[in-house]
Amino acid sequence: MSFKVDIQNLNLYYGDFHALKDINIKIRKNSVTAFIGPSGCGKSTCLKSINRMNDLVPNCKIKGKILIDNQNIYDSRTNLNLLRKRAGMVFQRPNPFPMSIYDNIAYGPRIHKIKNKKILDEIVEKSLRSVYLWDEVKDRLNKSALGISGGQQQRLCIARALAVEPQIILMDEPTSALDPLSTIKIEDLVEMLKVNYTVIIVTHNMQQAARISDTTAFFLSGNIVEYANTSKIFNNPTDKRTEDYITGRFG
Amino acid sequence: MKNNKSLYNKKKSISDMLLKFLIYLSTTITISIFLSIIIYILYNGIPYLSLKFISTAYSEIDSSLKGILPMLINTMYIVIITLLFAVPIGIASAIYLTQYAKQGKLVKSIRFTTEILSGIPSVIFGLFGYTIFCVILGLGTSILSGCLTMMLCVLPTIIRTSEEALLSVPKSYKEGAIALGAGKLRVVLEIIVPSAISGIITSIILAIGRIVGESAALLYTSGMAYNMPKGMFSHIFSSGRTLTLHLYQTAKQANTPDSFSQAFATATILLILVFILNVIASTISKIVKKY
Amino acid sequence: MRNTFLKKLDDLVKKVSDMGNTVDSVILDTINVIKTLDSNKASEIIESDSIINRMEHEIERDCLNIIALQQPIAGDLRNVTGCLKIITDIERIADHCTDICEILLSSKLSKESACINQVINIMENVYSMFKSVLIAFISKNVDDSVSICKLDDKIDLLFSDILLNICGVISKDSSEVMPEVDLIFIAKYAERIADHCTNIAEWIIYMETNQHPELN
Repeated sequence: MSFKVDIQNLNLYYGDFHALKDINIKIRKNSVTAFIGPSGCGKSTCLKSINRMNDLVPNCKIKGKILIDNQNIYDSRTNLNLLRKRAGMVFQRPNPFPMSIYDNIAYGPRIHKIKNKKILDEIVEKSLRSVYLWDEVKDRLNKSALGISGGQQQRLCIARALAVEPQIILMDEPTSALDPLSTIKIEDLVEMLKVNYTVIIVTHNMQQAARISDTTAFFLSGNIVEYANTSKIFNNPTDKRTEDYITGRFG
Repeated sequence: MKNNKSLYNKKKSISDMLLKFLIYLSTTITISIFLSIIIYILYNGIPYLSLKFISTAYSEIDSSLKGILPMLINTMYIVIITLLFAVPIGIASAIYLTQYAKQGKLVKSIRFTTEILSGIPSVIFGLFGYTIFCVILGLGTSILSGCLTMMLCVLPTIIRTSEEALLSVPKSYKEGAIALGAGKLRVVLEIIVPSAISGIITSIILAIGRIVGESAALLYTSGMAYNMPKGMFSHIFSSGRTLTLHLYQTAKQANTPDSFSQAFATATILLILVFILNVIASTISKIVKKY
Repeated sequence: MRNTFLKKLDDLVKKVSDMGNTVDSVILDTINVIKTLDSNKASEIIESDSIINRMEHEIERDCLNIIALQQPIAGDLRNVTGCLKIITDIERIADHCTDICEILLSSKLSKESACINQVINIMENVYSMFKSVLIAFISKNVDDSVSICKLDDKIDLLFSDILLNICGVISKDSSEVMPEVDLIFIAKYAERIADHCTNIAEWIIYMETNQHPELN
């Protein structure tokens, strides 16, 4: 069986610090995978390697391969802009651009050469509908995106990522800055997204990982200690360190 | 128990009261000095203001021609042409230093040097400008030499203020744009610069303020001529005094209290100009912030 | 919101009621075996017990999964733990039916044995108690559950009667001892099934009201 994302022997260094050690993980298409682990364990770093956002960090060196659809994204022939179109990202703090809601969503498609207003209108509506935001903002598309609530802003950021039609969605603690109701809305959204996209979500909140993911990877000090179906990890993990972490005995 | 004092016990300590008094005193002194300068100038200058004053030409000999129109025009020329040079170079440098250059020792030393340059007395720029532009490049005392010299004066300010504005754009905007697949140039031009625009405009307004108020740097480089421009383009190659230089000259030449009148009138115009500039600056700032 | 979780809760209730319906047929079949003394049918009932056990384990796994993965609290938690307890009682009821069938397989009872009709009667009462408690579970009816708990007294009385009568029969005619003793055991199992129904009713009351009635 071929996997959507296949990380092979990934080692990452921030200067001398060995942040990711021999990471091997295969992620299936149309699934939700959660990365859990204590602070500083490397889960966000691993996530950011998938769309090469780590390239922005000075002194970052990578060894190993990450295959998306069987192509190594660290090959020198890789088109970074296309990679980021294929693997979209949602960040921890909602970060809408200081523009109107419409322009925020249309920004991505415009980068990728879509200029026809009618097509852009359709894309904006479709993206906002898929995050259940359309009815809430359809009368204020031309107002600044900074004027809506935090939960709505985060859904806007998800819609913005969806507007470029990615196949993979990378989420870095997307609900840690939100109130419980917004968190539930976004969790419901993630469950729907997996029908059409492959979702990888980094979360500090283990209960969230338990609720929404199909598979979970437990990171510790740069290694993946255990990677299995979520129900196995949360009912009967194989490794004692996993059990200690999820039962709150450390971390 | 010890903590059962009533909450309604607002005691005033002596040191608090003394400190408060000193603060109020300093503020009063500052405001009084500031107000007295303005009132003194306005009091002496306003009687000599008239529509004729700002619309006629000037002559040292002919006593019927005491208007400052040529000086207003020269000031306008210097402001606009200096900005034409300084703004693109300054903003581009700021963009390079904050977005493209590797943040290492080189960039730090450039920044440090820029800091120092913005504090150097402008008369030194004047000397430098005279030597390079007027003598070596052969432009002589002209508006163009003055503009090039002023460009050197205001570049540090524009670069530094624009840099601050660009650096204060949240990193998350850049990350968000890159994660959507935008290339670096697009991120800089479409996201970062527009977000920093109010700071960049501030730097331009600061520069205009500096140019309008400059005297020492222009003294040697743009000269003292007070004739009306003969041709719009050719005028930049001829000498021309600005409002500040005119103030200097008339004050210097005056020997009776009455002849200070020109100086005070010019000073009043300058004050009004500076006031208008500040109002425009705040308005633009507010508009840009809202948008 | 939380659609997957809500669906899982609904599926759980459905599975419990399916298990209940299966055991409902088992009790009915057991009553028929007492009436007809058909040993083939009795053997079938004994073999089908493994199906009930499998259902219990599956539902148990589902409950644990929901608790581990969905963190239910308040009413949801009571519902999940209530289901977990109720399936134990349902499974024990099926076990008792199997025990009755095992007795019948080796018994020398005949359709003319004394007091056999009383035993059939107590079983039929117990069956209607079970049916009512299943309905109360689906409809979450607290009042009905309270009434069911009170029915337990009636069953206890019926059992005492049977015991007295059979003791009377045995003392008059000692040739009939073994079959009559078998009847005592069967009646006792019926009474135990009624106890389990009462337990189920108590758990239904707890699920709805967060109070555990001491009504046994």
